[in-house]
Amino acid sequence: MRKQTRIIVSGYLLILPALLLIFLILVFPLIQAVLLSLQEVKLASLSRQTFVGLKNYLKIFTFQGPNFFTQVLPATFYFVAGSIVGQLGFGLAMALLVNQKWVRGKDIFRAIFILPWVTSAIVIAISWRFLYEPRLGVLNHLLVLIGVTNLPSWLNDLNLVMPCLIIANVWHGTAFSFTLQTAGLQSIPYELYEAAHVDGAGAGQKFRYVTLPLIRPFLMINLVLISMYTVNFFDLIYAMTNGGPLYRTEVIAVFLYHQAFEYGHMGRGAAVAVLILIINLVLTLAYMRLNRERVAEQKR
Amino acid sequence: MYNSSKWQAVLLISVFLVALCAGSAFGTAVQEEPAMEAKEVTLRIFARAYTWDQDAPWEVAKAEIQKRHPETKFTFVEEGFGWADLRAKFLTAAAGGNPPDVAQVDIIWVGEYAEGGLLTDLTDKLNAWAEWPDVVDSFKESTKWKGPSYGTWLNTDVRIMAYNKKLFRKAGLDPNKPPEDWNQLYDMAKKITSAPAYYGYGFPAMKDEETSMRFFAMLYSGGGQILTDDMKKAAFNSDAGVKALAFHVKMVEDGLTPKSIVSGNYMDIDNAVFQDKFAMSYMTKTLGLAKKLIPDLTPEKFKQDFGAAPIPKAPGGEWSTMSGGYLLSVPKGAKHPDLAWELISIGAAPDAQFKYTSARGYVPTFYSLMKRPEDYFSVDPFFNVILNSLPYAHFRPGIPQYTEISAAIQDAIQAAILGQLGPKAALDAAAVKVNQLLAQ
Repeated sequence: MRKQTRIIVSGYLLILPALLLIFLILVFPLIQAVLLSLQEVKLASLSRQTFVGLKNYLKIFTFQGPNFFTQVLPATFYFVAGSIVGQLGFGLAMALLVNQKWVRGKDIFRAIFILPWVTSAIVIAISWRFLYEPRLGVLNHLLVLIGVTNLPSWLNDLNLVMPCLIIANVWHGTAFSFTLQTAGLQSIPYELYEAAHVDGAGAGQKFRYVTLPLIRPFLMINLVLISMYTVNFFDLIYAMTNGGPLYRTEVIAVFLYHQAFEYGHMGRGAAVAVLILIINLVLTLAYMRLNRERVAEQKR
Repeated sequence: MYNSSKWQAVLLISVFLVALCAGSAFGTAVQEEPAMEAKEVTLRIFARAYTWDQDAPWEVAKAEIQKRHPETKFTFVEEGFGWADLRAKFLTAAAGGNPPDVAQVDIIWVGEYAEGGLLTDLTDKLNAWAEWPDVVDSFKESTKWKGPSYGTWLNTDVRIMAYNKKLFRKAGLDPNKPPEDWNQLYDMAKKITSAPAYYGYGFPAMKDEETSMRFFAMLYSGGGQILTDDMKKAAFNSDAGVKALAFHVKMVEDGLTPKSIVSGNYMDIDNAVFQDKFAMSYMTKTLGLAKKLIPDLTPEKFKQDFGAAPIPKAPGGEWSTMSGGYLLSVPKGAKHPDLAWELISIGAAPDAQFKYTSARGYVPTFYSLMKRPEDYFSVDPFFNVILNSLPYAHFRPGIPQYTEISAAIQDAIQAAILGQLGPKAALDAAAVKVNQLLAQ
């Protein structure tokens, strides 16, 4: 009995340094952020804090420039959904393509595909802004060459600005999905495809009944990671549109920046950060539940 | 044996963690030693990005301070920002306990920073400074917040209209007769515009402080003002404000200004005047900016191709422009406050201010410089336009809510330009927001 207790205690002692680090790096700042979200505090005078309870949250929900429910949340979900679909879809398509046996120079393709991911988001933002520039940009120049007269104004167009941002972000982030999906595809034994082939399965059936079930864990991790990454995404949007025009691209991370750092409402900024955490948690839990149900369905 | 290894591992990890904590504690202690005695000094400077473009103020100040302290090896960490980012970066750095040694501070931020205890009281240093009596009294006063002074002026400025004489000539207009009111501005812009090659008029409508500043100049011209005199209510949604905004909406609707003004950088619009893309736009600097874009541009050539004039007034209205400007200050918690002040006292002294303001078309704040306008004329042939606009200059309210007030007005301008709301409805909606902010 004493020996067992010693083993348990020593086990806890072994993980204690890691727990301490997690507490210092993750839990402590999280508690600080939650506490800060209940205070009225300005960036210019951080030492002066007044407890205001949920007032910061109420202000966020009732604020009109921009409105949280009709502008910030829809912009966030539009951007996140568009980016996820694009990144996951293109990532998987490219991974499938490069994973084909007949493709030569796979390493070169992988290196090329990975380039947008390792490029700074600010550099990407400037490049895309130049592409979209209505008077001097490359896109409109090409449109003029093919005879288009009614030229779109891209980032100045209330309806086009978000798709423009999503395209830039998909271009930036697809490489991450490509890398994960490539790892997933390479983990599938080739014999399974041969067996399916012998059973008379076509390309579509092989994808549906062999590839998809076996890369599902990779897709799920990919989905969770890019969802969190996109919800928290800031730099590309800030540099391309700064949330405009008229808050059409004021996603929640940009909203946080404006509240906390541009207007100096640190308490309100912390409240937005807590809301971001809740959104991330809800999305992750929903994905995990969905995955569990699918796995259970397959087992049945 | 197995247990003993585990305990050794625990012991090792604990020792490692203790060493890590102790190391960082000692590391901090070493950093906090008084740096004045050190032979190597690093001075961090937060300023607007464009202040690094010419020798004055920084290169001049850096060279001089190094000359005065040959025993010290200076390293200068230079960080340049846009208007809003300069404030955000400074506040974040100060909040994190790592402020720069020198900060460029927009005059409207002084109250907010001083209230937050973020700036060093420089009253004694300024009073002991040989150049301080030379600073214009009204400018001296505006360095103060509730008594103490928090810095000295780098420059002030006024907005004027720059125009492209080449495009005027192309349209058959007299290049020496720029528009004097909005009606003339509209007519001339209409004659000049040949979209999409070039437009008659450029005006920023993106989320930027300059959007507000240029709108305010036109608002005041029609007899309006930003806030009520007691600063408790919005006043920009008056008839004057609506007319100013409606004028810009009409310019866009009639194709004399492109809709692309709602995004990008306002400097692109200013630059476009000297790149033959816009015929007219308002700005703080003319020749200084043109020189950056056109190699070997002489004042004579500039006078031939471009012009400067006061901002056209509202029909039947008053001449009007907006003025701003920056202080150089020493943040509280700066690692080398004395050297920082010394650097400022060189960079903002009359000699350096002359070089800086004449190069950029800004306005000096010293009596001695104002008494020698001929020196400015030799550098900028249109400096008289700047000087003549000074009496009509208005200032923004220096209240902590200003940044959000300005953002609300920028939203209104965007909403009207993009056709989401009419000018009156857009400004009224902004006024509701501003009144909420002022009531807090």
